[in-house]
Amino acid sequence: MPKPMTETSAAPLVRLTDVSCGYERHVVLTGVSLVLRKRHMLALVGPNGAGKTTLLRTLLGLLPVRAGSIEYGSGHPPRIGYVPQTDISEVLFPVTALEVALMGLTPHLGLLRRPNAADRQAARDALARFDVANLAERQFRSLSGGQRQRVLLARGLVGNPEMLVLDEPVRGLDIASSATLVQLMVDLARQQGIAIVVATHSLDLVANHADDVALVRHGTVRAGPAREIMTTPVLTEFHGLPVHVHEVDGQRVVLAGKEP
Amino acid sequence: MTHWLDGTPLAAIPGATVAALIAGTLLPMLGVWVVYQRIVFLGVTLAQVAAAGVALGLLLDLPPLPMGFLLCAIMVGLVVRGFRGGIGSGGDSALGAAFCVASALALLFISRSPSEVEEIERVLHGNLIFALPADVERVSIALVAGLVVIGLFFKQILFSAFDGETAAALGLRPRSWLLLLFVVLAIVLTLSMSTTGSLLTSALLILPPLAALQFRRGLKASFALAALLGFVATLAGLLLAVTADLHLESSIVVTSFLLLPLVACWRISPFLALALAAGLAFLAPQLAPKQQPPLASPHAAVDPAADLPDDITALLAEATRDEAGGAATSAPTSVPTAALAAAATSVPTSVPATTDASLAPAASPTDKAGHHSEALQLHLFAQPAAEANSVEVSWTLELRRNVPPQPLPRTVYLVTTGCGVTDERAIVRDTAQLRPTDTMLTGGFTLVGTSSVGPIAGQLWTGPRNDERSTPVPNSVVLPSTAPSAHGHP
Repeated sequence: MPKPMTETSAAPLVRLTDVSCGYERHVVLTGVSLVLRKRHMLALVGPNGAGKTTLLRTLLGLLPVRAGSIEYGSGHPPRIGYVPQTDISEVLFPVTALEVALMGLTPHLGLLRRPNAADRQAARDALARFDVANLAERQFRSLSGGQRQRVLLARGLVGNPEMLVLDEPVRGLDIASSATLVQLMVDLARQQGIAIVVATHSLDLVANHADDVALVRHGTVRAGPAREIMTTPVLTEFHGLPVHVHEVDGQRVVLAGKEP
Repeated sequence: MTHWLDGTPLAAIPGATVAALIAGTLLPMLGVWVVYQRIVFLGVTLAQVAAAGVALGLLLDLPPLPMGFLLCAIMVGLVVRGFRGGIGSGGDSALGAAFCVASALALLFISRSPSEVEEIERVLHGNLIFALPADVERVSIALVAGLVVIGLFFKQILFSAFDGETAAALGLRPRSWLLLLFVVLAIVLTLSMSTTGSLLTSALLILPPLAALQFRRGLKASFALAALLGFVATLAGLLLAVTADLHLESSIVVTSFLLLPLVACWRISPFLALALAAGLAFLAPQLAPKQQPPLASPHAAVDPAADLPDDITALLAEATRDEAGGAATSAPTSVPTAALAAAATSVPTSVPATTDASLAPAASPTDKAGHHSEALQLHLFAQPAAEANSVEVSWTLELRRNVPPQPLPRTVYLVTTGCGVTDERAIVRDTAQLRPTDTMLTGGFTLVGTSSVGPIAGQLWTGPRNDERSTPVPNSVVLPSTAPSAHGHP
């Protein structure tokens, strides 16, 4: 049962304490403790199959907490925006980018009300925020990966969420689209006070932009500030092979293997 | 209700036309969800599961349509249970298994069903050409209600179908909304199937939306295009069936399939598509069978009473006068009197097979196949009549007493559809009065309607169709005929 947080901290939004989570007959993660704060970006990092998606789905409320506790800063679950992987481009539904963005308002419209002019304008504004307003009438399935990602970001934000969850947001994107998207996420966190949760394999993204990191492996999670987690010793121990964190022109670069 | 069909070739089959056009327009709108969500196999399998449920209902003497829906509901529940918020999931393998098992169970249930074969065939495969106003009403209500329900919750169902995981994360219940979609689909398919048959229902659910998909238009335009293409294909199929004397449901399935190459051509050049469509329309009548001389024994068609004993001839003549003065002037949709049949079949119209063998057609489909499984086989023969929009119909009823799986019904009614009217008359008042040597009965009547061309089809019933106790005669078959234009025959 969700509980409100009793302590006041630097605007924590969600706190997980010794949580176990998983599916019906299979507990995937145990002893998970982490804090998600407003204006912060929390990165979930780990190898494939480690349980990142399970943790993400637990944070989204799609999976029940099987043990431990989850507390909310406001006493109730925050408004959520979700940006899934862009695999949904495989669907045949010929919906436009505007119609996709409008879906983000569906839970707020009530049972029978249809989107009105104000709702459409809100969706257009959300698209404009990510520089894809000109694609509003284009079919979603005809867009490039980067354009789709921006449309899905617009959908995630159109409902004014307090917490935005992104699953592999830079997977398959070219370096320019990836950099732009990451900057957009940072701006959202810093300027609008949204808590961002991102599951990713991009250690460079995490090292340079995340505030907090949760390393997911072997059925448990090690979480902490990025400056403590994204270090050569911790990452080497975590991955089981030499991993080096270097700083080049103010940017942190993560390299695996022998030190160059 | 169907006066707008007067003067068209479709006036011969008004009930079938209305039912098919309604299903052909509305089913594709429902099919847009099926095709775009990649659950085509679910739609086809649901139709087969509904058929198995109907067959189970007949086997257990339970209401067949609710049983069909019940099995569909169970399957929908299993599919939704397997739905994990992804897109188009449902498990093709599981659906394939369900399709095979449902097909087999339907056959097994039928083989053990105490119900009459005609009833099973009608409920399982539909009987579009004999669609009654009640059938049209049922199909219309089911489709309109289904589309209204889906329209009311359009945004929730769309979000759930497009991206169920995000919908769930945002607080919707995608499984519940998809369950609603599948339940509507199951109800509509079950109810439509009993009129349009599982084959036509599946085809209309899938083919027009597939063709609409090729236009790559938006979602709302896709619904409109699917409905429009479904209407056009159905209309073309009906016209093809009437002009080329083909099986009705199969013709619509074929024209629905032809939408796919036609739309592909349209996207290259509309003129190319129109030229191709015009070519197909020109070829369609060539599929019609060559007109045979009406009968090997022409007198039998013109005057069914010829060669009959004098007392029977007198009765027939009297009945013919009654017919000309009564039914011939009745409204097109009315059921004419059964005076002729009553007179012709009351007792003495039966004649020895040996004397009337020439009345039988040279070959019938069942004869070609080498099967003589029907205890009652009725041949219809149509001839142009002197009056406008009327056809002389004569019939020969063959009694095969060596294949009686069950007793003959006490009374046999002939329901005839053609020329834009449905005619209903008793042709055997009391089978108990027939002698063992009575193996061939003949009769005839004038069918007055709105057209003098088109197929003349029939079905044998145990009594008037408005009598709840009446059913199609089991183990019977009516071989149809085609009414040629009066101008085409000297």
